[in-house]
Amino acid sequence: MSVLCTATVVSQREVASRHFLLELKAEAVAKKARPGQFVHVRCSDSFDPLLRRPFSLHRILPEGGTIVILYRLAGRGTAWLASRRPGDSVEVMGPLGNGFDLGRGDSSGLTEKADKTSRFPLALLVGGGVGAAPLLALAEALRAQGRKTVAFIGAPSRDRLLQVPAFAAAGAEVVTATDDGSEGCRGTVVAALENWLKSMPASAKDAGEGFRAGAEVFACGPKAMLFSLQQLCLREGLPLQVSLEERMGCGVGACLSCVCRLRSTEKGELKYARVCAEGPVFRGEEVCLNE
Amino acid sequence: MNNASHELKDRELKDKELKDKELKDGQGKKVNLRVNVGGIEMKNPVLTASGTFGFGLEYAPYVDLRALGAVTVKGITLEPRAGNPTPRLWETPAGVLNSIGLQNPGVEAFVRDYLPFLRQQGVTVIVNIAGNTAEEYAAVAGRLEKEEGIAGLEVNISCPNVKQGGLQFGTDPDMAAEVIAAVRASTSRPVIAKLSPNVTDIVAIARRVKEAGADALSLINTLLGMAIDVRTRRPALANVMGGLSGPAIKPVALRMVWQVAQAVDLPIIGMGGISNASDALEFILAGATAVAVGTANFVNPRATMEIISGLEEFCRTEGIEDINSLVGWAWKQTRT
Repeated sequence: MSVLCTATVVSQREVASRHFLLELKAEAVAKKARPGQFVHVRCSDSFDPLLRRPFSLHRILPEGGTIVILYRLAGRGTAWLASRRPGDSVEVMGPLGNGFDLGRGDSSGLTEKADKTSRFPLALLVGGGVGAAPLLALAEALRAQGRKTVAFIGAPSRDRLLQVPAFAAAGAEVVTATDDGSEGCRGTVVAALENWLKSMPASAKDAGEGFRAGAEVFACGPKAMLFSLQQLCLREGLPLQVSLEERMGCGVGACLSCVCRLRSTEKGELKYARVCAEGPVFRGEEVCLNE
Repeated sequence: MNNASHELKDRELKDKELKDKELKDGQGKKVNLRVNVGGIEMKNPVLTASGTFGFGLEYAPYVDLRALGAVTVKGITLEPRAGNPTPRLWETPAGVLNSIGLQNPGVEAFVRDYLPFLRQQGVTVIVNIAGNTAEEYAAVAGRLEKEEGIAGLEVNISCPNVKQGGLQFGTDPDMAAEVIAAVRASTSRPVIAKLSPNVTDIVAIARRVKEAGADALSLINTLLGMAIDVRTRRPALANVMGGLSGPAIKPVALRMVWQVAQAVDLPIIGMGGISNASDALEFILAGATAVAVGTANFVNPRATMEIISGLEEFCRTEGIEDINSLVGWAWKQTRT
């Protein structure tokens, strides 16, 4: 269950241009959180800016009682947050949302509950820009499960690539992609994944119990990126979990602001799901990403 | 013993603990926070505003729902509604614009999936109802009539975010009266009319809904507004216009409570930007019998709890024995 708490800043540093890593002492949150969940944080001392800001958990460190968030300086709220120094207080609410389904039946919002650790021994993580944020906590959990992980990390340019050494330290094989080709593959991170899939030896791809049946994709990033990834995964028959970002009001499912459209059912009726409550992680095949 | 009687026992025990605590805290001089809003008895004058508190359970991890004067749930319509396209929310200076579009599961699903939880918790429940026609409002009220655990109905004739119904009822005195009369005829429960601030003369509307049978008034719903996202050069909300709430609208809401309280003899639930006990007191002094907290729940989920204790502390410090004696004080005192 989510808690409200006053967290203390442990450390804050700029890891790339306008991107910050903030470690907060928040024991109750760290103890309960799962990868893919988020915290709703007050980013103001006044009524302006007014609303809390949601941040996915970049790292969950229950032993030390801390959580780490990775965020982009985007406006007045994040500017306030970036001005916090060690020892300062920050109001935190969480953990919130469902989190990634790690196949142990412990994820609240997602329906499939069978033990998939054996079904999907290979995890492919795809992060675009600051979308890399929730994937590090995931990589660390996947390592604990003993699953092989490949992390595809994309950014506009080399200096904006986020946390590549941290993914490697978490045991992931890292593939980078930059729009300008200054590091790794030139082009999008989804194109990098597509090329990687093509490069897999046919035997690994086709063996009945092998590659196709054993890989699962987890992603976070801009909507356009997630849409092209959704199309790729549908073509390739790969299961996909996406973590969505939306403007939020309450963060607890009450205000119905942060909804995403669900793909049409047989009856073709319009349906929305709350990103903060049913999400932020959705199955690739259940959400509309092209609007 | 079955689960239900266990829960009953637990509740009795908790009630006793609460009572003991109240006696101890008050050291004999207990402040009365109880109010009656148009026939609805409340243990204190602090409610949640419809649409900002879901069906109560969303905030149960942070708030003791039973400690609230009442929970006013999200607007309910006869049929389920999907709501508006996104973006539905946009932050403005000290405020928020929203255009949710009355997304709700419909009255049947509300009764089946959400009401039992609130009833079991012992929460004072006010159901906000909406519709496209006066008949639809009446049908929702009628459907709720057979359900236990509802203290009153708040009739939403002021939603700015739906094409039919909503705001058009709230800005036309004849239509407002028609809807309230239809609901009045379909329910034995107290009827609260939630009025729109998007009118020239709110007193005229308040008078008409009183004649039509309203027992109380909720003042105010959101102010119609908009924002443009300069990066896309398009309206920020998918629905273009939305309702403004939050601290930014408090002076407007307070002015309307002040005007209506002096002109119309009905209890008022004041709302609009209330974030702390001082804000709540302003509304009470302007003539509100109770207050509702809306957008502030998003900022501080414990705002309601802090306001309740803040009101009690204010009364104790100021030597006020009954909070009802403060209602309308600001104009009652200037007149004498």
